[in-house]
Amino acid sequence: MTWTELITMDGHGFYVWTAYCLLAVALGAETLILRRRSKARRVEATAAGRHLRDRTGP
Amino acid sequence: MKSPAAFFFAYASPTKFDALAGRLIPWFAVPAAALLAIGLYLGLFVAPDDFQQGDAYRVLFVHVPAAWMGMLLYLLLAFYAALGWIFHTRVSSMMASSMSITGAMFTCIALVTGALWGRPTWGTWWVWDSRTTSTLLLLFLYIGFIALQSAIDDAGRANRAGALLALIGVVNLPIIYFSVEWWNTLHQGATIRFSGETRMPGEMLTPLLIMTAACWLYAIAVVLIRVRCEIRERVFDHAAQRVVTR
Repeated sequence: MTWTELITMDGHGFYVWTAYCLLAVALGAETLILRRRSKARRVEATAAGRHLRDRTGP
Repeated sequence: MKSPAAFFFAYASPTKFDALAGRLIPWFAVPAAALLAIGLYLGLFVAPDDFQQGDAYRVLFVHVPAAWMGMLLYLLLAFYAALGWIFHTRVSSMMASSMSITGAMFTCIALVTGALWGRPTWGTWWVWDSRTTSTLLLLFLYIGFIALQSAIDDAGRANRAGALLALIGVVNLPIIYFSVEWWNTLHQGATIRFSGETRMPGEMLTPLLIMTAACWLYAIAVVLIRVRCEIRERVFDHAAQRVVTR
């Protein structure tokens, strides 16, 4: 199979590649958003813990 | 050894569940990435052309796992929402709301890839067919669940309202599954059956099952990460409230 055949897929390349790209973008975007959210929560939780410790003592 | 009920109630505590989820996530995320790469490779390069549809059928390796995930995640969502409603376990409700976003995403992928597959095979992007219409209804149910949970400030009331909507929406699942048998539709019938012979050659079935397994593992990993975020957000909010009220 040549690169041209792989990309064009007998005239169906647009449909197949768009479907695969959509899956990759959707899963990638969700993972990225969750990683950022998870990191932000970790930072907030650490800050909240520090704040509580400062207010209430060890 | 703990009974399933004892295990459930032990891990219904957000603190215990957070620790367990933290340990489990890599065990789902890493195999999901590996299986996704293998499934995509097999689907694109190894699986033979279809004698009728040519290469257009390769959309199946994305479309079918996404459609299955959309349906199964909704079933699990309703199950966890019901558990949260009956036993007042916060983690169950968090699981339900975490599944809603991933489920909506998979349903959306199934609809868009269905349109991408429909164009070369049916000659149209969309038909108001029983299968496609009931799947669109599933997406609206997901959106309704997410909107309802976001619209109500009180977490308990939001969870109860969400659970009620989720349980009503379960009626749609057998309609989606059996729509191709109950009505005359443009959508093809089930190729893989729970009972009876599978009408698909092994070279095509293997990448499909690998992609399905990858989507399952991905969904579990993502839901666990989202539940951990929710647990931390609620703990943080609770801690902040305690500081304010002191």
